[in-house]
Amino acid sequence: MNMVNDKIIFTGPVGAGKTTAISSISDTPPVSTDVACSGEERAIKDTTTVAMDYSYIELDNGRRIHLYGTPGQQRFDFMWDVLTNNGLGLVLLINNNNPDPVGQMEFYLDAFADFIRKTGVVIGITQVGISDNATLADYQSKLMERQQIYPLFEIDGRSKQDVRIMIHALLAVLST
Amino acid sequence: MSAQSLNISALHLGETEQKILHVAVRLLQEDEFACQLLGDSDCTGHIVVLDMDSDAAAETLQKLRSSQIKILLADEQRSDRNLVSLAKPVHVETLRFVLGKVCKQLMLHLQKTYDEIVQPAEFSQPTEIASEVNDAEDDYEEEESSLLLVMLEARDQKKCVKIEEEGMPTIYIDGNKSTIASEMDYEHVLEVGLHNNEHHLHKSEFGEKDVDTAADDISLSSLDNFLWELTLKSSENILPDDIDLDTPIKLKAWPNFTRHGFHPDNFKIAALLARQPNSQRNLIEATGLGEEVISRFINSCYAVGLIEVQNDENPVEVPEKRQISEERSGLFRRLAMKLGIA
Repeated sequence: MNMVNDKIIFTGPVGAGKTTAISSISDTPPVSTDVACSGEERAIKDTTTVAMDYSYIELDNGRRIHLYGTPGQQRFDFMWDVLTNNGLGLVLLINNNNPDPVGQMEFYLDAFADFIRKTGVVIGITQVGISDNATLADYQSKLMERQQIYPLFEIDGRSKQDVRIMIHALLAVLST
Repeated sequence: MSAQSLNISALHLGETEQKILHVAVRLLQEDEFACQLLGDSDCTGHIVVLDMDSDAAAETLQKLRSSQIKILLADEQRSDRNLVSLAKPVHVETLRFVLGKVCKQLMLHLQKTYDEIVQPAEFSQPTEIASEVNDAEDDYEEEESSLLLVMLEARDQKKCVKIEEEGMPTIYIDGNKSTIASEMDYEHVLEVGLHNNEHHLHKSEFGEKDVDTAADDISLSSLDNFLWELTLKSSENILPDDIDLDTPIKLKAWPNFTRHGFHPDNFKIAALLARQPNSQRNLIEATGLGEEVISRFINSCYAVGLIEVQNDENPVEVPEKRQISEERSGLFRRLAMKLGIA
């Protein structure tokens, strides 16, 4: 058993609320790392540092579910494959206040398509109702157009209940 | 046929609209409206439901008698004598509501005619019944309303509507922005919807700006979320007319579960239906959930337009569970327990 693989990946653009969402359900405050790469990432060690969020949930038997937040900046997209390797599933967060948030959702669904196919995804839209940007129906229409029936929620990343519901939907997708 | 029995023609309707109309008429019949659907291409009904998206529809419309009440399913709203426009996609509850209103007015008209001539009258020359219907709409403040039906109508017709009752804070429904607002909290508004028969609600239309102004100081909720939860909680253990235990159904999109209406069982059903079309019988077998749980879910999805009936004649198979190891399955269970969602 490789317990490091017990990980759920949180992804999405900068400001989508990944750190907040992770901290709302994790046992410890997330560590926002800014470290040099090692191991598989050694190839990029000298050229950049990697920023990501990390925390965990400890289960009653002592086993840990690791929660990783991918770097939001697309220039770090080379990290995505490494982070998702053998992961349990994906939580995609989109900030509805960003320009073209529906397009951003499509971008991340395409970028993580292989991982999603092997595991599952749940989508959380933050900051809904703050601006006249897309509605939840717009995201749903786009998913229908793409013939993808993925769990989609309007969430407040600060709400433990909202994030728990998303994780529950992900577990339902993964186990049924 | 007695003068009080109303005939409804269905012209140029697509398969889905046909089914919706069938269900709406059946529900009206259950409510003891004396109405019936005529056979294919019989255009002699007192009421004609016509899909204007069909190429031949405009021509058919010209040929109908001016006295017939036309209910047009169209993207563009039209107004004319004896004509009611409904925006597409039309839902069962909306069509039922409008047909019910039209039938009620026609019945009154027929009864009046009957009383005047003291014999059953042929309904050959009704006069401007739709105008009466429209007048009735204008006077609707005087009529009692079902919160669910008013919300569905507001959403489908993109209207701004307020619901009032003496001693109760007003409920504002904005069909354009798909929101509801009230000084009452969400749970209280839901209670009103669930116990409609204990209330005497009155509906009237409202300006969008007024809704915005009113909503400044009061709580705002998603209309779709509210509709989902209200339908889920008020749904009876019966399936829509065109779905039986073995009918394959498909989920068009993941239901808009709200944090208020969250229930773990619904996630299981949605996850299975998201993978492949399936029947209620198979879902019961695959999930181990009761028939009433599955049918409530299907009814709610159906009400908000998320279920598509599959016409494939091949029987669907019981969905197989994902092949996950016992170890991983145990991991998921422990995680769910840890998060308090098991």
